[in-house]
Amino acid sequence: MAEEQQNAHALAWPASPQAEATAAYVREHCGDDLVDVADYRGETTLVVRPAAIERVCRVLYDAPALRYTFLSDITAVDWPEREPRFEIVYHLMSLETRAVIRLKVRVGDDETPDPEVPTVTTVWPAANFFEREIFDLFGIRFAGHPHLTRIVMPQDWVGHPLRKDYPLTGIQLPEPHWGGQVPFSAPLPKGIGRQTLRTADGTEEPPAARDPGEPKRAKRPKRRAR
Amino acid sequence: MQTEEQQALEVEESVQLDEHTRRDTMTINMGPQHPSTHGVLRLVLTLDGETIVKAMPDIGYLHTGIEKTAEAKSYYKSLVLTDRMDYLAPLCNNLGYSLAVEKLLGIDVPPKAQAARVVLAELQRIASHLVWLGSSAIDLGAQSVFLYCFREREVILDIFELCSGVRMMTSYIMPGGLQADLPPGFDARVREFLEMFPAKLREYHGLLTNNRLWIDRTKGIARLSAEDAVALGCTGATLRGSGVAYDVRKFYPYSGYERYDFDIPVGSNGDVFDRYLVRLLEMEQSLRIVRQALDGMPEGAWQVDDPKIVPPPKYEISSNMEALIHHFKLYTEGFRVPVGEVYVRTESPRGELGFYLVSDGGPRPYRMHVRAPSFANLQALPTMIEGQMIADVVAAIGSIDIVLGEVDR
Repeated sequence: MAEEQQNAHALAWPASPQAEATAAYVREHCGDDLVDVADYRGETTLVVRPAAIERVCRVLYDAPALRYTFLSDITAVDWPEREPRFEIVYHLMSLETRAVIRLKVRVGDDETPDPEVPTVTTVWPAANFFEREIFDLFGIRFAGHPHLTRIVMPQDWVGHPLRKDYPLTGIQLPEPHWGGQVPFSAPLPKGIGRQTLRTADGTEEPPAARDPGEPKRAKRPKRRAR
Repeated sequence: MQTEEQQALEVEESVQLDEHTRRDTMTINMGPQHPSTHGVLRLVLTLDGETIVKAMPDIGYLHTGIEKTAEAKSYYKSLVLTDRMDYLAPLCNNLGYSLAVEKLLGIDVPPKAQAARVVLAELQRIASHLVWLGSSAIDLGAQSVFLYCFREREVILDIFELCSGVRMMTSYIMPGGLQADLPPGFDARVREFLEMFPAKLREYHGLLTNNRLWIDRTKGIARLSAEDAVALGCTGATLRGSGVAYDVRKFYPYSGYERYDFDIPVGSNGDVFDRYLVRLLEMEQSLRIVRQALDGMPEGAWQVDDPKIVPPPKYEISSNMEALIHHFKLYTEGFRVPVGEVYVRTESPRGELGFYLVSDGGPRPYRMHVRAPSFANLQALPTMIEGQMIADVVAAIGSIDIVLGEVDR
């Protein structure tokens, strides 16, 4: 039943001839790197080997009749129960021919929880932010990226929030005197509730915790009214 | 007293130093609490005197994890999250999301819903451009423009309120059509706006376009070549100001845009002035589209006829058992969507807004990714402002029209 339905949709959404030409072109020029071709709702997906993604992108960028000069988007999807676990999805577009194509690589397994893929910033500089975002939220590294740091989460964040095993509620951090379970007179754990100083390389160094026995700093004298 | 050798060594050292770490440069923060960064954008600027040597945008101050939240909500509830991304153009976000869900479902909305969506999206584009015009003008010292722009935007927001009861976060466009039928008087109100607005546009042109001060502050400032704009993934007016005529409405028409007659304004210099002009001319084109869509507004249904996707009308729930069951199922579980993935492009006021939806057959999106136009456009900011004066940074940020809610999501 479900398959029948899918076939009915496949008829209603024909694959574009340009996408077919793209698949043929990739098969011709780097056929060994092409793993799979899939059509869904008129959108064509080429699955390629992770190590070859940069080469395939370069081939598509230079393809004379297609010219995929514009990178729309890069993102990732986490399928924890699959092997390989992550899908990195590239959406390319051609400003000349209006062709669109989706590329995919699949990476990550139990041995490599933080997989690495070649960067495509060498082909499109636009990939810079997108790859940083994936690194930040999925923990996938991009080899050769010019500035691979976290982009939306704080630099000292632990974990990668868009992974499926990252809880939606976030990770519970010790909070000072949480819910009254810790007496208010008890000193705070080291480094909690105090401002930290961010260093130039992005790491944070908590200032030395104040000794609870140490006398409080004297208040600044109020300015005298004139 | 230094020996010659020591002096030579020192000179050599200073030459070897990277130009960004030269000792005579200064690194300062602009933002995240700077009024002209249009939100919470932090720029780390390396300055040589008043000239910018290097700029690095730092974002994430408004990160709310919308993509993660959507994975825990039904398709209907995730719609509400899309309003909160680009909060200056919520209806355009609704439209992009709804189109993506509809493509996954394999359904088509009735013609009336399509035309109404176009009218609303174009009005939203004008409203968003008005906020941009007002705020980027006030950044450069043109105070009165700000007040005029918000005066006209109010009229559009009143129209949205008439439709949905809400001024900004309307969620009025939803998967399957519209939340409710267009109200009586909608047509007249929009036509009133269409009558009034061209004169206001001339007023803006009079205030700014030929204004010597405005031209001095914007012409030749923060240039972006067409090659750079394409390579950096810019879309929208930021790309068109550089002379590349890419508009999703023309390239990959959706919602019946192929039926309307409109032009794509394109700049030539890629400077702040061109981006400004492109947006002003775009508003004129939006008026044309709205007029055509209103004239051809069909009668009939405004939602798909499928109780599994759109909730039943409220009055049926107390009298019709089936309606009650559908209502209950839709609001507790939500509708299920076939397994698959789609990427849908739409033209938001800021550029190509892409929704990448992955479904695993369940009632919640397995993954919702948003290709935010501001996020990609922001990458071009360092290219624009490096080598420019620090006062021009404000003009450059204004000209790419970022919304940080969308950048950080």
